[in-house]
Amino acid sequence: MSLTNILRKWLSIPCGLVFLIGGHAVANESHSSGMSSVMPFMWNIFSHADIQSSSARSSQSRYHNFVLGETAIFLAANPKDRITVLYEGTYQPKRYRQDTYKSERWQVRYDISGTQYLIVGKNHTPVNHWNDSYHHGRLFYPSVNRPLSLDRFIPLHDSGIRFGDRAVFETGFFYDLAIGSGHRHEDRLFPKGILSQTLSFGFKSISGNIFRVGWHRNLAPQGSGYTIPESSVDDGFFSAGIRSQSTPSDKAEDLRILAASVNIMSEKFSWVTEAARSEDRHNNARSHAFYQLVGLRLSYDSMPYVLFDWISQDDAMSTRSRVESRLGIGLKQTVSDTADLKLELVHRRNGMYDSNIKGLEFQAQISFSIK
Amino acid sequence: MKFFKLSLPLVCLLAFATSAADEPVSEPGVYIITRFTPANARVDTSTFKRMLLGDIKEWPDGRSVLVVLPGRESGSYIEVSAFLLGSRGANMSRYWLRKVFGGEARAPDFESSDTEIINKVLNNENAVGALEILPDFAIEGLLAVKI
Repeated sequence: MSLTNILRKWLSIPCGLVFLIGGHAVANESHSSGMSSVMPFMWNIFSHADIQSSSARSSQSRYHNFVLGETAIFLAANPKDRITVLYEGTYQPKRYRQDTYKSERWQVRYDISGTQYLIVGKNHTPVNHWNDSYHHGRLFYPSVNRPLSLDRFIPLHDSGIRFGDRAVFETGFFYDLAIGSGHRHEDRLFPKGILSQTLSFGFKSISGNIFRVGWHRNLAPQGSGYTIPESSVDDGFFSAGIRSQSTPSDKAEDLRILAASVNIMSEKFSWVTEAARSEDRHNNARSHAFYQLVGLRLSYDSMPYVLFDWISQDDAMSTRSRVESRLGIGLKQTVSDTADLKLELVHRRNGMYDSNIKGLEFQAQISFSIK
Repeated sequence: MKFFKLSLPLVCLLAFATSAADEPVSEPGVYIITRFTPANARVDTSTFKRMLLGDIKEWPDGRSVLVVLPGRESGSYIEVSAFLLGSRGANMSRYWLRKVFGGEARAPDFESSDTEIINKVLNNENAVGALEILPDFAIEGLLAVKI
């Protein structure tokens, strides 16, 4: 691909919009937060690289001992006091995923008041805390990989309109309401009308601990497009290099997801829970997932942790039925404000209905942001 | 020359004594500071804290909040991080990086010293800041709340 084509793909309309609006007023201030040129234009690049080894890989799948992770470019501008324009795109070489360049988020946010906001555009589905907070920045992940539910049945993105309040009556209660195009049309605004709805609410304590519950419905009439499981295009190295053995589907769906998140950070412990269940009423298929991480803070920079991630999935949304799990230990080492090293050793089980691959998997990941 | 050599220790001693006298001696803790105005004085501690966390972005009268925090090189960084995020192992810079990356908030001003935080707050009535130790002398126009 020529440089011109690469630039054209990266600097697509939303990206250009950010530059157009924000670029005229780029500040040259830089400071210790790791964010550059803060007001009113911001940019950052997030990336990661992984070294991995697994005894659980399938002989039929591609496996990479070194993986160059997706690189996310983040741009935001504040053309007006209450307006934020944001774009996030990712790149990953062809050998790891089918779509080399992807527009992950493009949105315009209007702050209605000090706590309420309205967002129009492509966003991360706010059904649980993880998907709404960490996005594509591996630097923010507590573990090497995101929960299995996010790669299997929780739609990562949706395009639409979102309204929320981060501190209802200036308390810790918050909520989000969203309508969207549905996950088959996540790159366009309502081409087939409103096909998804999300309601999410929770409480954020004064010390930052978060409790959250989310509900998401996604309709997909037959012939309205294809559902492509995220795992087949997003994390080629995930599942010990086993690319999703499923195929895109155009079956009708009526997917309902219920999710709960707990995120507690105390003086000594870090606790992250992501639980979710989904039901496809059209195909009578159910999925359940549970992710748990408990970390012990040894020092300011070091946190060993125990990880358990489990998913049970019926044959729906074009993925085959399976029980999949990861159980193991890890270490999160902060290298600097803008870089982390994570090490993980997990026992992995990938129980597709026609196979049952088990084994140990080791991953070392360096994640970082560039000012 | 001889006079210079003899007086050098004395000069050093005086310099040390002067700097020691300037050392802040306020009670250790975390102080939320803002410029004193009747409107700012009406805000309670819990709301101040949510402003510092980026969850409340406007003062009750509609002004945009400017958050001023200690940067990594500031002596107040660890204590203020612990106060805001509930753990001494918390990383305040990372927290704000995630907030901005999520499109939830604008980046705060990170200052390298308590003096710079105080000056920034005094020069902007929309600013709210946090630091660990206040100077022991009264600063006109500064509203400080000890947590």
